[in-house]
Amino acid sequence: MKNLFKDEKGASLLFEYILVTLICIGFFMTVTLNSNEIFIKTPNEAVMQDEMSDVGNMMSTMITDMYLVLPPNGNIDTGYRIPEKVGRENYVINANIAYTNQIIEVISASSGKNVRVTIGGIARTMPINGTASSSSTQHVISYDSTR
Amino acid sequence: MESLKDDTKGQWIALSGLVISLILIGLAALANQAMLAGYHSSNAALEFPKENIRELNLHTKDNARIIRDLSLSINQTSNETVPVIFENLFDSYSDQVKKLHAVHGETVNVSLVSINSTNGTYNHDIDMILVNIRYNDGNTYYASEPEMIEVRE
Repeated sequence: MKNLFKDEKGASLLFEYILVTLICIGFFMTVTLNSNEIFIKTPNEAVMQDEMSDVGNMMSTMITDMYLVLPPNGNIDTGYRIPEKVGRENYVINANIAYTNQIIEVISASSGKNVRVTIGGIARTMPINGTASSSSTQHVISYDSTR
Repeated sequence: MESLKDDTKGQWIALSGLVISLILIGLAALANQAMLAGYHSSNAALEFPKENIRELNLHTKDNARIIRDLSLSINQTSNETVPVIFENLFDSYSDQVKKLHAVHGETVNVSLVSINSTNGTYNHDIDMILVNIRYNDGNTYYASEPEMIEVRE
């Protein structure tokens, strides 16, 4: 035990070099081949998941807030700002399935990733519909009691 | 003191330094992710003028009741009818609320639509009034047209 770090028997110096070199080459090849996956896609995926659920939660928050102050007769419009891209992709907010499923979807068309956020049963008492693309310049949620 | 260059002992110290620095990098990455999450959702909750709109409505309702009481008592010593007094007082309320909100960069318009009385003694008492309330802060436009306010307790 005392000599564990000093004992150099068991492998010749040359063989040791060859072994280490092979392991290094193998390791670097794996990293190089998967570098796009490891360094670009995985962080992008994590960022997209975070941002998309953030945007979805924002919509849910705004709709709930509007619902709380809705006038019995009248209308209310509110503009909001969202990032044009999450990660490296454009996305679409889809509220058309809210009535049946009580959810809002945030979908990225190019990677097919989608995040769903609930809107707490508001759509059951009040129809919610519409889609918004992240790349359009103006985004508005509007309510009109006469419609 | 031993020579700094020739002393090769202390591998474990060097190694533990490396480990600690790696842990710190990992923690920094985690903390950054936590910063990223939940910006827009909390910003939306802050930016939407929910409280302002609610307050404007409440103020208008409260003031309509106060103005009704006031106009009834002014009517005792005045030649003018209750609705006329009410209208004048409400106009000055509307003026004041407009100025108050203008200070915060909001456009507010509260205007009287009609004064109603259910038992027909319109000149002596008021039951319900209808007002238009409009609010605009540049980002959010709110209009309640008309808002019905029950003024008799």
